[in-house]
Amino acid sequence: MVTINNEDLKSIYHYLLTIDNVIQKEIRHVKGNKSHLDKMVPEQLSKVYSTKEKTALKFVDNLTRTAYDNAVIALCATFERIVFAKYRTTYGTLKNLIKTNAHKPFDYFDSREKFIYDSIQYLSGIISLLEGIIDNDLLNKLKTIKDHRNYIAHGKRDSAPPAFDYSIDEIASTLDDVVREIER
Amino acid sequence: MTLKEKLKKLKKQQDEKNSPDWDNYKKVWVDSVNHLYGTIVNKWFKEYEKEGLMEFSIIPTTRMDPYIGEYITAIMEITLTNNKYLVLEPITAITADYDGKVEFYMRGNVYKKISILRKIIDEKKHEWIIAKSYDPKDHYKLDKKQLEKLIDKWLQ
Repeated sequence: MVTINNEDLKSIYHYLLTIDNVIQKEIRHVKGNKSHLDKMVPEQLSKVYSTKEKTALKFVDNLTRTAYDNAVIALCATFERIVFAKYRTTYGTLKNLIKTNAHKPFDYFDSREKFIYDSIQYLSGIISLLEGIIDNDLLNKLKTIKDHRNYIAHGKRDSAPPAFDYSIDEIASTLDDVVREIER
Repeated sequence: MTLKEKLKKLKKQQDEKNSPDWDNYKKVWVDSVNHLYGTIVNKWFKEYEKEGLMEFSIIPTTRMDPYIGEYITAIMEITLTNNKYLVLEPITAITADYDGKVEFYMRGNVYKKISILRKIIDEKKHEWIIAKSYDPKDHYKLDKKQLEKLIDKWLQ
């Protein structure tokens, strides 16, 4: 378990860790006692995956994988919410600053909107804003996490996944470090 | 033919030259995985099978990967005694770094899992790397000793 400073990231990380913990505790009982799976699954799935030990173990392997994929998506979604809120606030501050201080022809041609234009919609846009601003290793880790998130979210079909899966601890900690860098 | 058309034709030729032959990539990936299984079954762990300590089974499975589409490959399951199973499962033929990933894990034990990554050396040669973490210092060439060490650790 790692220490996460951002409150939003911290709470989602704690929920995800708890889900993982509950799953792991339950899974332990399935080994050597396949019928324990029936206590975990909805009533309608009772005896569906618990007839053979191997089938039950396959089910728990896939359950763990699904929990991991969902954790990656949930952490990235929270991160997006945080960084986009910060981006919009910064955009608003800059816009007001220019409005207050800019002289014609800036204001006259209404061109200030073109200089500070609220156009970033995706995480990739935020990442390009951070190029050269935050530590390169941290930025590369963030890009890897974003690629992994896209790979999962887009049905594992249109982008190459990273060769190695970051742990939930590593993902949460990296995203938290990026938020801290942005706030600095 | 106008200049624009000629330039377009040149560009098309260049694009075709640069784009990988994904059909061949897919075939080579499936062959690489099969070859890895063959090495484990017929070479590295043959003695364990002879002594009845390991049993191998191949389970065909379908994969759908970026760029190369759908294909049939296989999962290899190693059955040990006492209801313990080790699994080699191809995850994807395409990875951002390296050139494909197989996961090696113990069934029902999520923390007993490791990535085995394919590294293409040249058109005819590749090697398999065991990756214990993202750090390249934790990446080792896969061989019998590494695999045995890992299983030994998992069975403790």
